[in-house]
Formats: sequence, structure tokens, C-alpha cells
Amino acid sequence: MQIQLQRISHRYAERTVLTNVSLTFAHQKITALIGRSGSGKSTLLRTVNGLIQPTEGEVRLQGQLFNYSDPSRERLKMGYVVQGVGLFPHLTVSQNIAIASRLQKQKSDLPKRVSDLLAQVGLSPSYQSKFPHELSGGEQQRVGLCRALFLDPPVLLMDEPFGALDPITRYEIQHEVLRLQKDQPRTMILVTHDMREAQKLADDIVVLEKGVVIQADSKENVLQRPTHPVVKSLIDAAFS
Amino acid sequence: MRKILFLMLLMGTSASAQTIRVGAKHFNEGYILSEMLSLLLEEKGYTVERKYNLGGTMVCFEALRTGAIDLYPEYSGTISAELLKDSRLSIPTSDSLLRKNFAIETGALFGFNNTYALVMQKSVARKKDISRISDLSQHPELAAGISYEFLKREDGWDQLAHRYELPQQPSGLEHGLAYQALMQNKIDVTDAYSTDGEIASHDLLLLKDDKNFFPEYQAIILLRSSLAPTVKNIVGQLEGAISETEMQALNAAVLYEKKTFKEVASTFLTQKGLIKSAFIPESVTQDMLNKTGRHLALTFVALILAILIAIPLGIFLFWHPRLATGVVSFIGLLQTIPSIALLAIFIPVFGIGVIPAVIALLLYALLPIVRNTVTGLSGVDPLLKNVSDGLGMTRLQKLRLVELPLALPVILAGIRTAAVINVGTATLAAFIGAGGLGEYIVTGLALNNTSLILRGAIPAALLALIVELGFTAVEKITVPQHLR
Repeated sequence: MQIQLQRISHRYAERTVLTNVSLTFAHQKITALIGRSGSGKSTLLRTVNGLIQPTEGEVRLQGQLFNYSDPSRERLKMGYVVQGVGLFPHLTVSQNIAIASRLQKQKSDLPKRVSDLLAQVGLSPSYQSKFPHELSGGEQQRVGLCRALFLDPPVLLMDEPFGALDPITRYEIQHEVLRLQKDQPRTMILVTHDMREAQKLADDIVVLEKGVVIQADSKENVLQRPTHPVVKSLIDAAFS
Repeated sequence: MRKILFLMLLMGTSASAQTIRVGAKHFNEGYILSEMLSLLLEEKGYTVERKYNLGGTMVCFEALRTGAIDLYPEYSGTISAELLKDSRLSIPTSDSLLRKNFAIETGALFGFNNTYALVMQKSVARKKDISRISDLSQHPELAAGISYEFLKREDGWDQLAHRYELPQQPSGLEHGLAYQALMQNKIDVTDAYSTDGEIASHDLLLLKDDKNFFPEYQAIILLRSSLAPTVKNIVGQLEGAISETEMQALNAAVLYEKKTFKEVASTFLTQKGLIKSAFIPESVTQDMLNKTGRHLALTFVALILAILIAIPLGIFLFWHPRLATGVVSFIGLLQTIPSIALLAIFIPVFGIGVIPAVIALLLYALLPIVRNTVTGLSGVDPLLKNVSDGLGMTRLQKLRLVELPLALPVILAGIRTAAVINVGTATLAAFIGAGGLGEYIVTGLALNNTSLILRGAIPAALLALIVELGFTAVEKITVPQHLR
């Protein structure tokens, strides 16, 4: 699914957080949204699934305008993974993963889908009956990923999903994401502040600074030909 | 909901053609006279519902007027001065006014006059050579302790002092404490009712009302005109049946021989040949179980109704936070109305009995549940709310799947608080004839009988404890360890 943002601007009261952002997220590619803290990258991600309705501009999914009168329906097409995961503490792993099955009428083979997903992220079926507080941070993030993928959505939105993980776990999950993308390609948007993570995962990179897109291009072009001092410093900070 | 209301109504007023509701003014003599009416009716096969703890005159009359009770014993002077606001009315005139305006009529006169009187210790009276009220005007040194009720009555102390030119400045006190104060020489004169059991038992002197100041307080039955003639005839058997001295003895038997008023009434009627069956003492255990059952029913019907109102209201306020502060403060304001006052306010609107009691309890239960529902829902981790939205939940799905389950411990704690408040407050329901353990307390207070008070107070306290522990157990079962 292709996602287009056209002349998006967003203001909170007097503060402008996004200014005239126009972008296209390519079908079945991974795009990294990178920038410093406060650059507006999370806000931009949240305009994609309608958690934020921008003050100006349009969001188009596969050419169709985002339908703000029924945002839940649009969001079911988009998996959503965040830092801190946000697993529901009162539900088991299996219930967390399959939560979306309770949001719509169609029934599928739940147990099989759940154990398939767990297997894809390297967790044994014995995890199904555990509660979130019994899991390590890495295991929680893997379950969070399964939950986002439950409905097999064409889009996956990830908001600094690996930020709180230790380096080894982060490395493992990044590889699982890449393997997933190879097996079942999706349009993914990954918010990060780490250029190395962008380099490892992304096809395209979009760099934001103070709510403005300062460079948007293929990974190679951005890394080799930074057009803005901030892009350069992000690269230097990651690779020096 | 409708089913619960229906059950509640059944419980409150199992109304059939054969059921007669007998009211009573809640003091000793009132209980004895009402019990005589009840026993006579039961002797003839009627089912009697005893509504004996009806606050004061206005509560009784209001209950009679609205049909919450069918009859109760009253006094002629009270009828004319308080109910009809003209103390000069004769009994026949009162009767026709009551029939015309309220469809209520007077029945049999019991045969004694329980009027106000002033009493003194005989020894003091002899020393000062006092036998009449007018003698008091010569003795300003005598301390008068006068009951609050007599002090504030229109035909009370002020008028009496004026008529007899009494120099004493009275101090106010509870009638229940006046005899004690008199016997301990803390006061020299007090007001009394001429049939008080204490007059006989303390051997007191009743001062002669030599200027005929006190109006007649003939004990008389007040009943609804619509009652069947057979019922009127049955209670009519009490016409002239009790003399003033007999009434003093009956009162003393309850107060000093610690007999139950039921026993005293039954023995008297048997002696007079009005009923055959001898007195069978009631099983205290059975009676306590019945009252405990009623107590719990009041508490939990009110609690369930409160939950059904408070949780949706809490959810609504959670969705409209601008309204929340105002509404929660308003409900909090309701909470500050003393329960007795709230019940009193309800009498003209809802009458007496179970329904106003349940409504009052319900209002008291609202605040903790509403407040905890709002707090619980607002307290859910914002990250989880954000994820819920991101996953595509609608507002209702988010509420059902995430917010309510996570707020449950806080909401349950609110319900527990409400339940414990209700168990305590339900004791006051007895004042408006809703029954429950409060009956023991109210009757015990009226009779100055501590063991009767404790018979209500201890189980009520235990119930509160059990409810508290019960809800703690429910929380343990429904809320997993890691969410507490």
C-alpha cells in the first residue's frame, strides 16, 4: 500500500510541529523517519494512522483520502508498534496478540495464527498463556510485533520500537524484522533517532528537523550525499 | 431492574386484602397500644404488618394519610392542636374535619387521658407544702427541668407559666432523662405524661392542674375511613378498656419489669377476655434473622441500583471531563445531608417504608462509585490508551476491552466503600418504617433499653465487617495479583 502525505502542517495551539510536509512512502518499502528529539517525526507517524488529524494537508492511502469519520477502520489496515510496547497487563500473550480479532466480526483460526506469529518472532508456543509482566523487555517487544501483525496488515508503523532494548536483543529483533519483510513485504514506516538503525533496516530515509523535511531520498543517497548539515551530523554521530 | 423493583415492592408491602398495617408512635405507650390493635386483628385472622417506629406525630399522620399504614393510636389533644391546628376542637368536630379533609376518622377511645402534668418528689412537695401547680408561683427557688418537646409546644411551658404566673426559668432536657434528674435532686419539678410508668414506680406527686390548663389527651384510634367495617368493629372492642392507672401499670411493666410490650399487651388482652390465645414468646433468633435479612436486602437492592446508575454516570463523566468536577461535587453535596434529614425530606415525596429508604441509601452509595469509576478510568496508563487507539479500537471497544478491566480494582474499592456505608446507614431506615436491624436500635432508644439497642447495633457492626471482608475476597478473586 502506498501512503501519500500532501502539504501536511500541524500546530498545537501556537506551536507549529509540522510545516508543509509532502512525502510518499513507497509500496512495500521500509522508510526510516529520522531526526532529533522534537523534530516532529513521531507526530508525522501519528498523522499516518489518524491519531493526529493535521491542521492542514491530506493523507492518502492507496490514493484514497483518510476517512476521519471512521478512523478505527483505517487503523485496522495498519499495524502499530511503539516504544514501551504497551501490552495489556490484564490479558495473556495470546489474548494480546489476538486482540484485533475482538474488534471485527470475521472469525479466523485464532490459535494457529497466534502460534504461527510467535514462531515467526522466535517464541515457543508455551508463551501463549503467560502474562506480560512475566516477559523480558525483548520478549514483550516481540509479542507487540505479533499483535501488530495479527490481521496481516499491508502497513506497519513503528515508533522507536527498539529504543529501550539492550544491544543484543535489539540486534536480534532487527533481523527478525528484516526476515519478515523478505517473506511478507509490507509498507513500513520506522521512526528512529539512530542513523545506524536506519541504515540497517530502511530502503528510504526521510530526515526531519523542526517539523520540516530536510532530506528524503534512498538510503544510499542520504548516507553518501547529505544535503544539510543536520543530516551530516546525524550520520557522523552514528558512525564516528 | 424492573424485576428488582418488583421484588422490592413485594418485600415492602406484601399487600393483600387481609393485610392490615398498624402504625405506632415510637414511645413505650404507643408500642403497647398498637400491639393491642395488632393482636386483636391477628386473633380474628388478619395478617398484620407492624410499622412501629414512625418518628413523630407528623410522620405517623403522613403515613396514615398516604395509606402506608391503616391505623394507629393517637391522642385527642394532639389531633386538634397539631394535626388540625385548633386546640379548642372537640373530638366529634375533629372527627368530621378529618373525614372531610383526609378520609380519616377517629375510632374507639381507649378510656384514659394521657395529658401533660407537672410532677415532683413527694418528700420535696411535703416540705414546701405544694400540691397544686399554682403553689409553684410561691417558690421561685425550685428548679424546673422541662422536656424540649414541652418547651417548644405552642400549648407548652410558655403558656403554662403565663397562666399560673410561674417565676421559674426552666432548663431544657430529654424527657427520658428527666426522672433520673428529679430523683437525684438535680431538678425539683418536671413535666410528665399522666400515664408514665415512672409516676407509680418512683411514687411521685402529680400536681393538681387547678386552673384546668392542660387540654385533654384522650388516647384514641385514628384510622382510614376506607377500612372495612369488620376491622373497625374489631379494634372498637378496646373502647373504654384501659383506665389511667392500668395504663401506668402497663407502662411500668415494660420499663421496669423488662417485659416485652408484646407480652404486656397480650397478657392484658387475655385478662380482659378479648383474646384467647396465651402469649407465646417470639423466637429472638428468628426475629433477628428476619431483621438481618431485611437489612441486607435494603443494603444490596440500594447498592445494585446505585451501581447501575453510578458506573454509566462515571463513564459518561470520564468522556466529558468538563462536567466531571461539577457533577462529582454535587453528588458529594448530597452525601453531606445528614441521613435523618434526608429521610425526613423524603416523607412528603415518597411516603414511608422501603422505597424512600432504598432511594436514600442509593443516593449515599452513588458518590464513592461514581468518583472511583472516573478516577479508575482516567488512571489507565496513557500508553495503553494510545496503543488501543492505534490498534483500531473504537471508543466503546477501548472502554470494554482495556479501560474498564484495568479500572476494575478501583471501581470495586468504590463499591466496597458504598456497601459499608449502606450497611451502617440502613439502621436509620427503621425511622421511616423500612425495618431492618435499626428497629431494635430505635425501639431500644425509645424504651431506654440498652440490651435491645445492642441487639441491633452489634449485628449491624458485624455485618459491616463481613461486607468489608466479603468484598476484599471478591477483589482477590477477580483481580489478579499483578494488577493490584
